[in-house]
Amino acid sequence: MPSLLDVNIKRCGYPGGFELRNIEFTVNKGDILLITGRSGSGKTTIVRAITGTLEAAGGFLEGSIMLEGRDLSDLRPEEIYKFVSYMPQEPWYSVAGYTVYAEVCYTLALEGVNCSEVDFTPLGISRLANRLTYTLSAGELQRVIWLEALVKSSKLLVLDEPLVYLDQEARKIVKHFIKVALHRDMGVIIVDHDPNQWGFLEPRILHIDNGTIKYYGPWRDDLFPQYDDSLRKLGVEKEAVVVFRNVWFKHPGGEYIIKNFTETFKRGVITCITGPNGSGKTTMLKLGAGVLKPSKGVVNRLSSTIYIPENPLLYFTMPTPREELLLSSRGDENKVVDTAEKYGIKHALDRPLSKLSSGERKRLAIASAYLAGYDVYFIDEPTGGLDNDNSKIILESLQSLIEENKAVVVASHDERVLKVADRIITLGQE
Amino acid sequence: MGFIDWFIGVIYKSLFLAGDDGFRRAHFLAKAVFILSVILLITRNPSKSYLLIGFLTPLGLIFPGFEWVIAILGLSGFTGLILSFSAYLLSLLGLYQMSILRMLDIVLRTIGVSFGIVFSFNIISPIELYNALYILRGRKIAVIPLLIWKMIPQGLRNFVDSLMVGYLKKEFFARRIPPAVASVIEASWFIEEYCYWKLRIPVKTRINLERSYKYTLILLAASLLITLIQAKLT
Repeated sequence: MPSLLDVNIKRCGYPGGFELRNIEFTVNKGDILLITGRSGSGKTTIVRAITGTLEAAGGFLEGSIMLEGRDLSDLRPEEIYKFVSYMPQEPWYSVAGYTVYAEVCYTLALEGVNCSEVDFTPLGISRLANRLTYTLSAGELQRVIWLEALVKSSKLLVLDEPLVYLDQEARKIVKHFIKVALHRDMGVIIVDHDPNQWGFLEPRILHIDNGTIKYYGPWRDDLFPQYDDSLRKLGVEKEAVVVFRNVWFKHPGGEYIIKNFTETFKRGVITCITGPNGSGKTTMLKLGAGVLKPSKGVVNRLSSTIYIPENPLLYFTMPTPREELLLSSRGDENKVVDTAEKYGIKHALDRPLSKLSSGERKRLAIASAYLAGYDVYFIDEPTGGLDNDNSKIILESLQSLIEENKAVVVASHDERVLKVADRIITLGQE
Repeated sequence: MGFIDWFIGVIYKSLFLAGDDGFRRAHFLAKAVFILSVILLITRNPSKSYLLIGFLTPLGLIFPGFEWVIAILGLSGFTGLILSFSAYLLSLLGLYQMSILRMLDIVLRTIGVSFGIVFSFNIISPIELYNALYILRGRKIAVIPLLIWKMIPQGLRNFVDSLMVGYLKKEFFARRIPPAVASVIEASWFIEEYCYWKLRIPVKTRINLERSYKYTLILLAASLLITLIQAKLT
């Protein structure tokens, strides 16, 4: 009986760029494999290889990827699509439909199954059916992808950083679904930079470092160090910079998501706004920064504010880090170089923004805002999707801001952020 | 946050506020009859196209609702004012006479025509376009309407976020277009990669769209009314 997945990669990667060498592993029915490693170690390239999208991404592969004994390159698109269900880190990019109903029905139509034959209720999808997909939270979108995987009876699930954008409740649901998938004899591959959160499943480990296997074998508790939480709270509360008084807010056509909120944000501290998906964390940042107006109540801004969106690409004005920083510093080249060094982006100053990693983009956005001289920084999910090393650099940069008497307000449910936040405001609690 | 943000918000609300509810659930033949009656009124009696405001306002209030109607009136009223003012400026060159009443007429007719176009666009379900492509043997491209309706509001939202940043950075709105476009391009790359196989397989069935008798009957009644009034006018 051939394995569900049998990977034997001699070489794969991108011409003139990154390469993986001698990667071999197997996944059988009911197996769970955790692929881990630092950012840039080659995890995404392996995912592309086993989902058959490496060549489409401009890459090459020497070796073989066998799905139940058949070479992936010999399979028809329909067969690959049915065999492998892939849940990317950003689940909103893996749906094609504009509503949940359209998305699920389209997926079923690829299988020749009519929507009316499928029960939407098991995963709580029925109440989402008419929701526009771009308004769904990451957790809700993941449930849609789960349903699709179950309906098309995929044999292999590939989950790329599935917990990154989820609150604690949604994380529990994902972990439950993984157990269900294993119980159904599916093979499960999880890609995660933080292996410790999967120890309860005791998965086999494939640890990749710089394009080669560092460890491949059974789960071991001693294999990965716990998260280095040496960063300490540093804040000292100073004068108020933004004051919310009895603020209410609702989006057009929606319900109130902020109700009678009163709070004072101060210099010298990192304040973390946390709460479940959809509780209004991002809205709160936008209200504080002044890009949304409250439906009722008042927001007083006593200093200059800036808002850095979750996707930092939307923050930038110029096409390269150097030009962006020059613009923010009003042409002061010395300040640009010093700041780039401080925020760890000096090596990438002349790289196009599209070639920067997410960590580099986030650091650049903070650096650019810092150079422009704002007093209050509203930052959405500053560590979302980042490994521990990159996360630590971001958190250090936030701490350096408060040391310079700035105020930092972040929206996050990342434990690493909560550990260094001087104040925590939890939304979505009655 | 300014005029541009308001304008984008209006476009978003007027075109992409809701999923497949309300008149989108009417039978496609009722929709075809309704759209035809609107087109006939606009083309055969252009001077009376302001009458559409009277028909479409109550329909718009039934679905998608009050905010949508306000958004449409804002968008079309703005367009009408631009056209009216342009006509007034041209009249200053002595090409023709322009009175206040004539200017008001231009505004009202523009609102009527715009209302008709946007309402007609709004009652078409992308699922119906998908089904049409399926029937016409466009099975590999049937997903396109679904993708378009997914991507446009996402792009608009990115644009609004980019404008918000520009507002705080005190930048002219035109400078915020490239970041928004870049984010949309990047999103399309991700969709291309993550839906790689999904987008390469021809669909094998149609997608059912649950129909509503109520909305079908309302649309047919409105079509009949428009046709009767038009017959009286001609």
